[in-house]
Amino acid sequence: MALACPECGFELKPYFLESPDYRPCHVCGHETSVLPYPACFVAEQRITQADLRREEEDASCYYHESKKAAHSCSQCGKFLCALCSAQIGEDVLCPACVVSGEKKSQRLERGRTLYDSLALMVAVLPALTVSFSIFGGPVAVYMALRYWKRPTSIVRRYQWRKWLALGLGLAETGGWIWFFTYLALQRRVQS
Amino acid sequence: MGRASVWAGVDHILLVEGSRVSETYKRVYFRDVQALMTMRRNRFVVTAPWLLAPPVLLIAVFSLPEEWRATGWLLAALAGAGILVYLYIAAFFYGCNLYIATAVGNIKVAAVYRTWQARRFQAKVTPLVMALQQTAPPLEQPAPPLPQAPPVEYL
Repeated sequence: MALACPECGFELKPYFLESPDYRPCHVCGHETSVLPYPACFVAEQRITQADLRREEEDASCYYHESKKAAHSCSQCGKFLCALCSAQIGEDVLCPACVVSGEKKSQRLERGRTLYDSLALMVAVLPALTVSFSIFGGPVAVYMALRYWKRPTSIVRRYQWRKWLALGLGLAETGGWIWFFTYLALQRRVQS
Repeated sequence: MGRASVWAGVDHILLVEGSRVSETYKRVYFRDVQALMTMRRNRFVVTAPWLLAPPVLLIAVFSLPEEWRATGWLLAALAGAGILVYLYIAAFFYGCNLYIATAVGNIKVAAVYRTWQARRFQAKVTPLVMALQQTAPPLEQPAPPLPQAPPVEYL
């Protein structure tokens, strides 16, 4: 068994696999419950076979069980041996991600900037101080329109943020335009 | 201020973490999951809905007629105290960290921080992992083609 305590990193005793009760780690004392799956025992059985190419603590390649994992794919996270890993720029890719190319890379992307939320924050936060909305409003309009078609979160998310950001930004910008126009007209009337 | 969620795909668990304006994604394939490890820890997490409680209580009290205002303050104080007690008990008696154990290490599931959430997560994930690991082909064979844009389900 190669399960390690999440806190101290020491290997957990075999009795953790007997039942999912909370037991203290014999090193750090933190109570942990372990729910093992077949992969845990399969890995143990395969390691105990005459597989001398892999050390006991090592992970195996996703495509070659008998080979030691040297990298993990930067796109999909699979463990890879040296043969299966392809260094592309700063990333290490598995054969599947290399073959499927850019389309694949976009599907398994690792992060996104949420421009709709950013535009909404730019619209709302400066408005709290009133005066800074002279900058926040136009910037929010620009951001909402510039990134209108950019995808938002990879998980379920509604589109109302960019609409609200655009509406607030336009309202703030329009408010300032009206304000300066009003001042100019007042000054002209006084003169 | 961080936010995290966890989703189940066709063949993987998707961990979403980030702030209000960005997200990072981690995928853990069911075939790589060796165990789910729940560690009891004190975690004082206050989610956004609880932050609405004080203003809601204040608005409720001030919306009462003048003759009921004193009673309203008393009830609001009791409700506030109850919320604080609940948050304290949840944080210090039911707090936990959940980790997904794989061959290369333990991956923390930031979205799960209460023991009852961990149990629910285990109940949802276990059938998916077992279904795949009990029918998984030998690892020496070529990997099956990946599904097209797998749908996700919130856990």
